[in-house]
Amino acid sequence: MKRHHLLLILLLAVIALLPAATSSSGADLAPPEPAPKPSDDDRRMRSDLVQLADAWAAGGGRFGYPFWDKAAQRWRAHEISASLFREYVTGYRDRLVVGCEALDDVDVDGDLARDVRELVTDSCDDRIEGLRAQQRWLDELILREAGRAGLDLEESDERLAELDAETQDRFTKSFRATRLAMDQLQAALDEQGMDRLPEDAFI
Amino acid sequence: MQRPDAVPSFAMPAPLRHPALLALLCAGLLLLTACGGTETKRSDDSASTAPEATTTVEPDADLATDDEPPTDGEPVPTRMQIGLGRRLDALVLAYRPVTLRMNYLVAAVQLRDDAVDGDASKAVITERSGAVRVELRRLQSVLTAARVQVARRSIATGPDRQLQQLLLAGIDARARAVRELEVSLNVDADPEVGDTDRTAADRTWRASWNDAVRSARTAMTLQQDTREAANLEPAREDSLR
Repeated sequence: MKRHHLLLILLLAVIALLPAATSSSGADLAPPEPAPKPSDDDRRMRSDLVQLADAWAAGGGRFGYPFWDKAAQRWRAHEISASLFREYVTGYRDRLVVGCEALDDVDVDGDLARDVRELVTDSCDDRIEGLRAQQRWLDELILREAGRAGLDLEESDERLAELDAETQDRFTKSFRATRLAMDQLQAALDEQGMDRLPEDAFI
Repeated sequence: MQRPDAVPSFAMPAPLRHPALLALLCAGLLLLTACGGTETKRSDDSASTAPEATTTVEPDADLATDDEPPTDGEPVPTRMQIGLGRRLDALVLAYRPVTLRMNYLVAAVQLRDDAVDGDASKAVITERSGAVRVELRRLQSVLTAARVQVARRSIATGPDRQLQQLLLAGIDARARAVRELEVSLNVDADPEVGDTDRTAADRTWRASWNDAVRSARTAMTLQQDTREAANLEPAREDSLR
């Protein structure tokens, strides 16, 4: 009798585990489901996203960000001066000012494209503010390096710390917003069976 | 023969002595075990404002013990969580040379693309292709060194193991992209090669590059989610590229 109970328990346990155990392997064995055919709305959504990505690329994604980041590395490695790095910061900022306007001008339809536009415009604004703070920080640094007469070092340290904190805070928000935008839009494109955008579309 | 009053010490409560009920209970428990914890929830709404990524602990910091989670005020990370944060930091640090060097190549490629798209002279395109070749060689050696550093960390399980796998996948994809970019440059330089092959070579390396960028972004999301769940400060958003 006890043996029967034990067998019954084992049988039920196996039945209970069966769906979980087969869910992964079953997916491999089943014939692949055809990707859903994108609707007109889906195609419109992708077209909106491409327009946003184009605006971002023209506004600093293509010729602003990589050069500014490279200049930052070279400045940290003492390969270029703070003044030259500041020129890169200015160039990137100016491109982004145009880029933010271009993003605002993109007319989007649908919730996802609107969400993505909001995230990338916020990111753009934060990055411009971050670059402005970085410029002021570099100005302070350049003045110190030049040994300006009568400079209060304690006050200067405070200003540097404040500006650095503001710079990092803005950049963090900006990079985070673009990361979330990319996560969101690529997942949506996957879901609709459409081609992804280039992964660095909103870098 | 055993006496009827010889009840073993592990006797079950009366309702559980019924075999069918016991079996159902076991099945339910097993189902719960099988279904639970298969997916981690993404917390996209978390604020990420702290500028520094490092997991630091003040010498006299009030740490929560692993058994007693804090109940009031800001959640304090436990020693175990701080240990996890340090392991994440170590992986990010091992990957750092890739993050720092990547945009050297991206900038060189942009300048070359601009020359090609703008119908620049052959001399300009050749010069800019040369700059790309220099940068891809440098990145290649950075990738080789970084791979060793990331892979040498022995991690059995957990989110840091996942992060390590993503970083290694990213490095491998980028190394592949770099090799394919060189092939693409060679194809472009060969006047006998047709446009179809040029386009195919260009698409191939960009697809691998996309894989690498996606791995890095996924790693970044995983890292931030893990840190948030462990009550740790967020990492710098530009720490993984």
